[in-house]
Amino acid sequence: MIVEVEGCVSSLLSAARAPLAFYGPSNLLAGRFLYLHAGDGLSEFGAPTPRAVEYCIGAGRYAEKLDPPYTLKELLDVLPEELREKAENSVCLRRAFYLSRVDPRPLRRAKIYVDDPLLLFALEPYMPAYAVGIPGDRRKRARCGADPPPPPQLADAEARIVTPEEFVDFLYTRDILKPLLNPLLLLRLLWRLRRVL
Amino acid sequence: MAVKKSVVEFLKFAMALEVAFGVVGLFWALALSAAIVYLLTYVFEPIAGAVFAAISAAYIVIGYSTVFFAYRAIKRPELVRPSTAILWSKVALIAAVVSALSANLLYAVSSALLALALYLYAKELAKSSA
Repeated sequence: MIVEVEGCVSSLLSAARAPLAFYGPSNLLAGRFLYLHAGDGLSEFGAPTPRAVEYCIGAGRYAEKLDPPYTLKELLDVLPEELREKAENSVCLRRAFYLSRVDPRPLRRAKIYVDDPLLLFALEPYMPAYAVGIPGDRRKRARCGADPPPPPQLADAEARIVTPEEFVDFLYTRDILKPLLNPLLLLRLLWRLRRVL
Repeated sequence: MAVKKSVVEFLKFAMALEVAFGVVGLFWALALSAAIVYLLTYVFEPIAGAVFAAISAAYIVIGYSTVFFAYRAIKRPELVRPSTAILWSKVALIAAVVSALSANLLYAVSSALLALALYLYAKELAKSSA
């Protein structure tokens, strides 16, 4: 879900907890941010969110029918005739397929700043996404904090785009290993069970 | 790039095995669980029978749905998409683990093979459509 923010965005960003992704003018940043960018590449396999497909060719509601991961061919099959040609020639869509395979694991503890909306759409399933200038699902008016926000510090980082095979592995193990890899979640679950028994 | 033929053949083999062993193994599981539910209900507690019936029903539903999926997909494996392959591979894995725990070994082996074949197929599809 993308939250469209307005008001004192700097206060909101400095007070928010990591991880988060932000897209907007860089003068609104406050505190430590990772400036994430991705290398060149196009692909026809991945899991672009409906919002990314909507952004590229205006066919988000057709992409909602597909479960991740999917191929460009599958998307073409569900599109109506008039959009199919547009999708076939769209470089933006191929870029969205490529970026959707971004590896979120190294980005778990960071506040991320992106200047590419496609990268924001790719990160959206894994962390809260805030945007200025993109219409979101929810609109939030940020209130100003009591203290002035700290000056921005940007560190460059290159996004890791996994290969299609690694992406299948990632999707396969994500649901099985998630509770096991998160001991806090497991302990909390056991604690709750102890109270019930 | 085309999908490797050996992976498709392995998938077909695993699906055929799943259908054959699934029908037999799950029928056996159905009979056994009916007997156990009867015993639990009349000899011990009706609640125990109901709980066991619910658990075995869930297992048999998972088992028969993988068998049905394999039966439908065996003729046209090219219609299996990466997302469905990943989903059914997970379901087959669950069925394999539960079957192994309930000593339904033949069906456990065939489900585990199906899970592996679907996983390899999903990876192969990803590689070929990159």
